[in-house]
Amino acid sequence: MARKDTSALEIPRERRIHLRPVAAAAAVLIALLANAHPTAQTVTAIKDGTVLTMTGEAIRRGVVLVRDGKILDVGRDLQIPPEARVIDAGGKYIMPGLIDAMTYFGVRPSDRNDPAKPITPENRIINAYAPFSDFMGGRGARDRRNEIWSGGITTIYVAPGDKQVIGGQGAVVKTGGRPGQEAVLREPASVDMTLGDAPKKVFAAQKKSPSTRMSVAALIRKALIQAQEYDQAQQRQREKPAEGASGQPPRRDPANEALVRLLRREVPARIEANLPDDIRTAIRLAEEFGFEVVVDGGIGAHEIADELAQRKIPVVLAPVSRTYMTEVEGGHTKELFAMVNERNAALLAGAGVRIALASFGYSTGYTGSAYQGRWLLLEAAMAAGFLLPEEEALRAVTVNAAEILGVADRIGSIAKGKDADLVILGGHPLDPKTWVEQVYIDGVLVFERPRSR
Amino acid sequence: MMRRHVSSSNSFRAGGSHWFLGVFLASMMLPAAGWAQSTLAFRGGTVITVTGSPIEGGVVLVRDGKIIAVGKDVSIPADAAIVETGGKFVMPGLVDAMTHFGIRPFGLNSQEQVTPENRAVEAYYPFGGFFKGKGGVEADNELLYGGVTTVYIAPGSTQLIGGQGAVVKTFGASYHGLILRDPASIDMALPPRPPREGTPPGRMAALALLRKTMIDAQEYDRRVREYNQKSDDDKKDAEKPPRDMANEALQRLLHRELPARVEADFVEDISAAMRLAEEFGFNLIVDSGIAAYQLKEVLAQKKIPVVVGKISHPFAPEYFTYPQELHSVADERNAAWLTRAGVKVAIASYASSFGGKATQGRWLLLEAALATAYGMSEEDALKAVTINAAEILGVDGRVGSLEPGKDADLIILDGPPLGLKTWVERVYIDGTLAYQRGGRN
Repeated sequence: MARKDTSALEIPRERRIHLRPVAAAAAVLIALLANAHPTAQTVTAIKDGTVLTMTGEAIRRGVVLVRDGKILDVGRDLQIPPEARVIDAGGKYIMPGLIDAMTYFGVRPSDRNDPAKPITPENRIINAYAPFSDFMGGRGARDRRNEIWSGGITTIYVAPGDKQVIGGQGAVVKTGGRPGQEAVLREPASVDMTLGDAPKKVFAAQKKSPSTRMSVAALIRKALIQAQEYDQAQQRQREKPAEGASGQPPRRDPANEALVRLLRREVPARIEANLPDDIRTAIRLAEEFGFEVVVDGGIGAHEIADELAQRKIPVVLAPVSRTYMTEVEGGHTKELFAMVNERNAALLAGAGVRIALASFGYSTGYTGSAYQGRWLLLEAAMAAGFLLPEEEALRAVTVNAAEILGVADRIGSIAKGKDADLVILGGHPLDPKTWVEQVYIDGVLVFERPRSR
Repeated sequence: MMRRHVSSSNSFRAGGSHWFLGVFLASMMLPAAGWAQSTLAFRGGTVITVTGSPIEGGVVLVRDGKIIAVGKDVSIPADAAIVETGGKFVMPGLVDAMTHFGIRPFGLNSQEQVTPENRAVEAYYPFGGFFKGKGGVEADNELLYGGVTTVYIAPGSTQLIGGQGAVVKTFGASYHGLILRDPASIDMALPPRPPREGTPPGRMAALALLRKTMIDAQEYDRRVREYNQKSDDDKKDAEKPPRDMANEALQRLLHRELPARVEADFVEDISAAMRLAEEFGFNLIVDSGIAAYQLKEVLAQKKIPVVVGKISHPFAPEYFTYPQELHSVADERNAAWLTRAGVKVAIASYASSFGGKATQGRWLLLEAALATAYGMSEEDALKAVTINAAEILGVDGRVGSLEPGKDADLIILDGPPLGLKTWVERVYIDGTLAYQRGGRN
């Protein structure tokens, strides 16, 4: 085949001159970009900002040293190695990457639920998690990820369906990563359940059970009893393999395996329950079967704050702002509206309950301005406006969330050895006018606020 | 019908009622094309072995349907019939690693989601006139016309587990002689395609169903093994596990006797397939893989090959190919990027072969040519439709390159294989002339 003569592509001498300024500008640009995207091996020092570590006092004019994607050290008078790349955060705030402890992010609506079946503990959200794919028309994966990063969110919990009684197993993932390296922090991270009106309505509409609260609870009990028996049969077989009726161990069953993890307290149950009686059902189930429980939603949780505190049951609160939506938008019943108290976060924290604030967001990318992630800090600011102490509001979107998700050894605070998931903000994080300027995940810059915005 | 084709004759072209005439004419008019028992020398052309450098003015020596020598200075035995190939190109017959060729369109998919027991060969009828266009000789020539000598035939792609695919030649001495490898794979597809009853709603349920199926197969495998390990005395008392065709097929997967071919385009579906392969320990081949380039490092590291679809696919309308969601992902450089990252790539037609103008086979080489327009080297593009495809199909011991010991499946072209104006002039399969370009084409 004929080949193009490459010499013909060379630029004539007189035209080269005009290209020089362009080339120089390109070189500068490349250098700048290289500077903004350091390789993970070099030491990076973020200096002169106010460091909110989440586990100790705020450090004014502090230094955070980062190497290999981990926090090397944090403090006031740290020696900055001469070869370090220095980021001047003078006048700015540095905090750990935010953690959104309840989202449906990155999952196609059609993949979220298995609405024909009330109980599917075998379903794993990781198999439907598609953070790098375009869907929902309008906006693609990049926009959806920017949406999250624009709010400084570096880790999320992704939940399976919200319309089933037992939807399946959730996952904790970082919002960075690349295809094939999704940065999964914990999977399975939970068994996800829903009490109250949502599943009841779904199955009543199909003229199926469970269409009452009683039958919802009965279904969960039955599934857990079966899982207990399954576990016992497996254990019997392991201890005395020769005995047993048929000489065969019971058939492996992924649904029961998921519930056995719950029974053995390897993962918690995340139970969405808002009204106090639904929360009490969750507590009853957890006590009967001895599993760990995290209450999700918790709009009426403050009414039974002492009961929760006494049992050390954490609550992941749905956004305060969501309760002002209409019934259609928010999906709440009148009964639930009557329960709304903007001080629920403050009341729960005051009683000693560990709380996290979460978006419960779908982040489908069609909500408009692609700044949905920003709402998490705004929610924390609003909670502070309703008397939640500021430190507690910030902990509710960082270290508390990490502890509830079981990943506090890796993320949630700025401390030696933790992952370098950091956010630099233009002002105090709870000031509603503050913008996230830079987001680092594992020491790598993933987001920078565009100047135009 | 079928008996008429396979009886009495030792020569069988996957063609209609003209087969006899075809072979008769071939033997009358082409002295060099006798049936395989003789020695044949292809002399003078540019020999593209695919696994080595091209040989200008090379010789390919064939005896009894096998290649016995390839090179520049091969001495040609006195009794050899000589095919002059001066000024022409000789290369191995093309291998199309993914087709639904020769299967009635409504015979591709079953209603159930999981049917590992189904076998594509049971539906394979390459000489049927069942399409709206032309069947018989036309449908067959469609492939030979493009130089395609080996194809993978897959069961449908709208089920989670469609069944077992097979590797067949496009021409042979008998119907059974066509089959190179059967079963050749377990064919799967993700995500679940919606418009059928019993479709799991969404990816979570689909993967849960696949896991459950694999776990059942593992347990079946264990029960069978435990029974087989018993002494004869113990066997009398024990209950023999009843045979189960579906689980037997999946056992082959678990024992790595067969790979799984998973048609998956989205990153999350390819990732889910990799998770499944890792958990249950089977070999994975990604089919179609429109977003595979986004996973190229991982695929290279795990040595998972990709059988990409047509490079020209992105230009086909949506209803013909894939959902809108994939249009922003599709990139013509997919094959090139994957290859450069170290992933073994085959380019395949994914054709159902409608038998229309009987020219569809030509697209395979054209697709390879298009791949070079999008960054693939000519060498890699040719490998993608020959040796790579053969390796992925597990038949590289027989076909895919011009090397001594391999089947004498070779094609003669009137120009460089990746030239858009190049035509296939002759196709030999097992040393027998299967097709010659006539005035009509």
